[in-house]
Amino acid sequence: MTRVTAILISHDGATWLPQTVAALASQSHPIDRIVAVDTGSTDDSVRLLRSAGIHIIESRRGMGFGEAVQVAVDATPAFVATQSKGKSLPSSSGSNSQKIEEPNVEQEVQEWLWIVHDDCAPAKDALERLLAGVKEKPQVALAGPKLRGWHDRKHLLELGVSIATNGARWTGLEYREQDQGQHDDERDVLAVSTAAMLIRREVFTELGGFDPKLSLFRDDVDLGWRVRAAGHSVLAVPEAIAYHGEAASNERRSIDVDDALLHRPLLLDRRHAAYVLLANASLIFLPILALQLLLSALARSMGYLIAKLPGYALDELAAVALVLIKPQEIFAARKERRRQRLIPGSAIRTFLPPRGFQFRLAFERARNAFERYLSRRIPFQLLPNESESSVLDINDEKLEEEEIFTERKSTIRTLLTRPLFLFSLAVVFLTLIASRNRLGAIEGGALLQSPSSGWDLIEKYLESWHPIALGSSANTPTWIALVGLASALLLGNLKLLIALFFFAAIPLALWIGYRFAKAFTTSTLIALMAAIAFAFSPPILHAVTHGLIGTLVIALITPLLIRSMMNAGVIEHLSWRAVAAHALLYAIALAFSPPAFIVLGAWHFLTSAIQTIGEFRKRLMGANSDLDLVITRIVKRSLILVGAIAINIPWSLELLAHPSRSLLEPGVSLEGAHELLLIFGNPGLSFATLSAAPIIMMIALFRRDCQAIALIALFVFSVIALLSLFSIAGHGSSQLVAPSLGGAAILFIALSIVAGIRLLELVLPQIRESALNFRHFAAAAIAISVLLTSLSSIIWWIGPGADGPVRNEETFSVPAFIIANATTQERYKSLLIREREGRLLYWVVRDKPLEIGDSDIVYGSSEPIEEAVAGLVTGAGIESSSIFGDYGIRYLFLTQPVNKSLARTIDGIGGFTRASSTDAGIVWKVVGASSRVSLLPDVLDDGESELSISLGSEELLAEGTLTRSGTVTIAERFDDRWRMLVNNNRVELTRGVSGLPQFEITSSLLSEGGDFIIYHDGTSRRGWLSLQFIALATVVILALPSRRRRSDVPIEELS
Amino acid sequence: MSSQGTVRRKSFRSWRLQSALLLIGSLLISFVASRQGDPSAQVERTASIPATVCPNLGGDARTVALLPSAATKIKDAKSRKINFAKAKSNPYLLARGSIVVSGSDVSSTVIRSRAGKFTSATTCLIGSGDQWFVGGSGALGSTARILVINSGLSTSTIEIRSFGKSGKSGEKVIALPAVSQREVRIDSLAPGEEVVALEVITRSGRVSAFLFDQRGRGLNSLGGDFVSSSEASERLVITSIPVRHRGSAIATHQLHLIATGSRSAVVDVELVSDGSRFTPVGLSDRTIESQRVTSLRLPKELGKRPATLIITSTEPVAASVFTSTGREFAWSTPSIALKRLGWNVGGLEPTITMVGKSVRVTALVKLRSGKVLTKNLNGAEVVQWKVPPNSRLIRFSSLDPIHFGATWSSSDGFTSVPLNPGTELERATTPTFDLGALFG
Repeated sequence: MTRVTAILISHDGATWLPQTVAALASQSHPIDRIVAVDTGSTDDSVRLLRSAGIHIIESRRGMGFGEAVQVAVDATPAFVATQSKGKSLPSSSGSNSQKIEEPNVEQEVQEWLWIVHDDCAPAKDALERLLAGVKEKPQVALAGPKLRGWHDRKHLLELGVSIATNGARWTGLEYREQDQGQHDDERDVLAVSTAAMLIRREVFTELGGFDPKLSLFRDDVDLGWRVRAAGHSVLAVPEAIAYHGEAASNERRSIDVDDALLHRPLLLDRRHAAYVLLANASLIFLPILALQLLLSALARSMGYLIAKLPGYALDELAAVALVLIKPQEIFAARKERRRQRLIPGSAIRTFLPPRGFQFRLAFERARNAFERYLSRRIPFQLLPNESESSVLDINDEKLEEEEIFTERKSTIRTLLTRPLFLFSLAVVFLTLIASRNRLGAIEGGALLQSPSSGWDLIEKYLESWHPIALGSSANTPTWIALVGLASALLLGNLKLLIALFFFAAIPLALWIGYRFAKAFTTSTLIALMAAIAFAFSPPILHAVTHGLIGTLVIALITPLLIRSMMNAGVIEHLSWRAVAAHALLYAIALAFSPPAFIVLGAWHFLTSAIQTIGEFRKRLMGANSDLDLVITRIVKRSLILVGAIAINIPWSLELLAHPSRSLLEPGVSLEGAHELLLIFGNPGLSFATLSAAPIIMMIALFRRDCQAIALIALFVFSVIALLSLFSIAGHGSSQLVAPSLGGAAILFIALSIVAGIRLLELVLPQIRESALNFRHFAAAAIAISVLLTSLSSIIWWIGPGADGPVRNEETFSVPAFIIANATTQERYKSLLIREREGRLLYWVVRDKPLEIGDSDIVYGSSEPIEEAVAGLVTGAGIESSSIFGDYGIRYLFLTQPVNKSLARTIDGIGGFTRASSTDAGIVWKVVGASSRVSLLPDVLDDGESELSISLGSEELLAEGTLTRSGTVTIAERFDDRWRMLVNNNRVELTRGVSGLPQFEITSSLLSEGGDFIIYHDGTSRRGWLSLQFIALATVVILALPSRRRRSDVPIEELS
Repeated sequence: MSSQGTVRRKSFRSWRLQSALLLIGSLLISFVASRQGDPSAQVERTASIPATVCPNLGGDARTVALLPSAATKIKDAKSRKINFAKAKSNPYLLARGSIVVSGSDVSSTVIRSRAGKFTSATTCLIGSGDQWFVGGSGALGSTARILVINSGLSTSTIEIRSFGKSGKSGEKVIALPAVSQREVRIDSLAPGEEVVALEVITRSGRVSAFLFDQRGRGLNSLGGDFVSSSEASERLVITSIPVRHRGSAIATHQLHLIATGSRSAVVDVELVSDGSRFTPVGLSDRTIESQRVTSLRLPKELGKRPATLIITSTEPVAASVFTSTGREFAWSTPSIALKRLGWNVGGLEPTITMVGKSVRVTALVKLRSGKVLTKNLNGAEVVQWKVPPNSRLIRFSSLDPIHFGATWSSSDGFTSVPLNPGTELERATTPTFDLGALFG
């Protein structure tokens, strides 16, 4: 015969107890006896229980759950076979000496303990179904119901529980999964929750009940694990349902058990999780489990920090630490379990979730979380959607969706009816045609060759010295690190990333443009027109064909930037999180297009100035002015701009020190590029067709309803025009070029498109309703100009544009022997001179071709080299070869087609000896060239010439042993961070005659041996990068949505 | 209502006006920006003056160089060292060999003289690709030789062609090792030729060539002088032809011409003497056969002041005037027209002849004392000016191109030197440090 003793544990559970007691009382299967243990509740729990007529044992407040259950078990003797009636049994608690009536019992009794939480209300038939589930299953010692939410009664909480190897409580369910019967099959599980746990009394007693070390949380998993290890089964019975409030884990009541440090539930939960894993797992897995627990705790604590929950982060770390510092407890627990174990651990391992499954579920949860985040209002979307209805709604997506439901088309047919999908297909097809020369690893134009791994870019970013040309200590631009990090998406394959990015740029721009336009119109047709105008705008096409990575990145974030410009007037409404998000966005803009950042900054400055003047004017006129508002606006704007600059330090500081550099975008500076041509003309940089954008802007400017947006466009246009007045030295060149304003031009185009959308939305109803007038012609002019611009751009793109400078071809044309020359330990350099279109270009070549980002690190040559080269070509440079030699330039290479006059000049100038003359060009050897690191001895040996001695060097580092005193020279550009240590003693750095870094080595320095090392000190660089990381981390954390403490989450969301 | 309407209309006009003004302003800026052109298309040019070579031939004559200043950097032409050092003295005695002088806008001059026998002068220069010398002799008694100097650190190849009265008489290809010089006797190139013309072509490297003509009869010296190199041209101006030595008129003046091209030239020779310009009898419409040296005798009396010849030709010609007293001679060679010229006279007191359409030259003379004199030299066609005593550096400047030449006479002899810059301001495209050099 089956007997059931219900044990109800109560602790400040007055909120839930009425329902719980009612549920117990109304069970379809009678409960033979109910005993409640109250652990020092301070609310009405005890009174409620008493009034319900439940026998109650009152205990101290710090008593753990397991201990409380044990108290109840001890107070309720097991049912025995002899039938008896009305006998009083003594209670185990001495102080609370009470009597419990022993019910009638029968022979062959099978007693079950039904442990119930005070916040758990079993369904009416829960016990009956639980007992039905275990009936005729003698192997089952432990069973549990399906747990659903207390408030959301469809919310599936648990159906059996396990533990992941990182300590997480594992239910295998998705976030807020609704119970639709999808898990309604009986299943063997590792454990069931103690919320409504049914356990055979003899097994419970045999195992010694709950582990007393587990006062709360994870005691269920531990018990289940031990039950299994003892050779029994654990069953989850889906037909049995209980509604659980999870009050303790959801922080709805205080945790008062004795070992709950600081009453923190997460800390207790994590600590017990680690304990359960380490106490029960096989010995061989202990090290890896400990490591995984530690790493998981670190990762989760990082996550909590990002979510702005430092308390939880500390809980995570403290929990693992508290377990690991007391190994004796683990070993004692393991000893106890070893005694009880009957089956091997491998039999239980099947109930632990596999790692792959854990990752997959974690990923899905992360994805869901991200989608939930996206579904909320994004920080940049301060303004509501501009248009609620459209005059051109014949292709409205809502209508399409309605059709889908009514006609039930197939997926393909559905997609084919969507204009965006069709256009995207067409654009991908056109992209394939237009990219016929750009399939594969690409370079050319502004884009240099990509290194095979993105890690190379990260390394470049971290280094303080760059062995390019004459060497450079310039701060590497942030975009290089960002591109390097982005390559992680493709496992570090940078070549593939760049190729894919340039291939996908136009289709992506189309999609982004469409999404952007839809924010201003509900008409699919207008949105598509706008998207096409945007994607095929001259600046974007020019960027694709000329390798302008910065311009393209700006194109992809343009919608957000435009929104931020439009919101600039109401910046006070931005939350602080939105301010941080803006700073992050502007930081990306600054990294990839400093001119675009200038435009954004200038707009904020202008808006701020106008608003501030307006407020002060009000004040002067005696009206109420809100100075707090002024200050808020200024503070928020400053935080956005300063935050963006801070994220880009130390590079941004270099821009501040050299403002002209802030007019350049990433990559090699292009000659002949003039962004005004891209705005007025077409991507072929001509006025063959006139662009529609300025026309739209001009028309919109005189429509009051569109004037605001047109004014922003006009402002951007004016800034572009003003910046175009400057000429600046390009990247990797001393040649003056026009500023790179592609990113800024895209902002103008996008603003004009928004103005155009607004204009159409306003004008079209009037046109429909009026007779032929100037509005018809204006609308026709806009439509035709957009059409013509887009068409001509597309034709250019798939025609001449396909043969643009960016191609799947290697453009680096320096003979291999020149490169090989620099790979020896002397690290000689070569000076390469090429005549092109009447201009003489020169560059100092080292041991490898230039790679992406290199151009942005080198600013000009050095003065002595400039003079030497000028003297070389005029024949006046009597010391040219001497200077070249000092700088470690060993070969002079004049490429084909050779300028004969120049060749003769070099022949005659002295200091150069012809080495070869081939189809590639003429090579001269520079007499007396020094190696990268050389020693000029103080005292010459007999027969020794005055030439310096090579000391050998790596690309950056040089080390070895000195045997003679003298002057050590580094054939690199002077920088005060060059360091030399001789026998760990630092040698003073001086500037040599040719401006090279030198170290005087005295005999006294060599007295203890001459071990030396020469390096470039990157301490300050690392310091700046640390600051940058801190700034970035701070802004990212502030920008990310903060996670709520569980106690702050409405209970309806949790259970 | 009416008032509100008026306000609204005014406001409407106002914002439209503001918009229009903003638009016009922006368009104006963009117009200015677009007119700027592409800065990358602007090619900068650099100008500098290459180093020159001052020759020193062997023998017992004394050679000094009149350098721009004692601080001028020089180096031994035979030295492989690249570094230059200050001369420290001026005039600088060329005791060991030829020297290389760092570039300057003031030309250096070499004066080679032998006490009581001859004096000669030439401008230090750096050889261009093609140098023409009309003068020197391969006849008996002539020890004329051409000095070729390779001051570079790589081997150079030159070709010397000689022409006589009957055409091309010899050709020699010489490989000059780095930092070396070599003398080639004219009689080995054109044995027996009374007057020769030499063309020195530099095939590789930069070689400077100098021709020194020295003659004697037995133990008696007949004089010596440098024959300055010149470029063939259709108009030549030979100034500062010496006419008097030690108070006596010089009787022998011969003009030697060669048409350097493949076609014969027809020349007209005009003589400017003591302010008058005329064509001497027989010197009009003279046909000069191609690549043959033609000698024309000039009138015995050329006036009291140094004479000038102006030669116009239908084809490029090279020419020089041989002036001889029987015991000393001088070669006068064409000079090129200049607007600016700097020359260190080193204490000499030469007579400088300036020839142009109209001469308006300002001369700044720096004296040994440091004092600077300014002299305006104006005239119709030819102006002659004797340099004041104790002069060091003279800088001439003129609005129009002027041909300058100098001649002086001393107890050692007399000489004439065209005041050509030893090297021209070399203009070249400024090389740009640009990584575009890496891409073909």
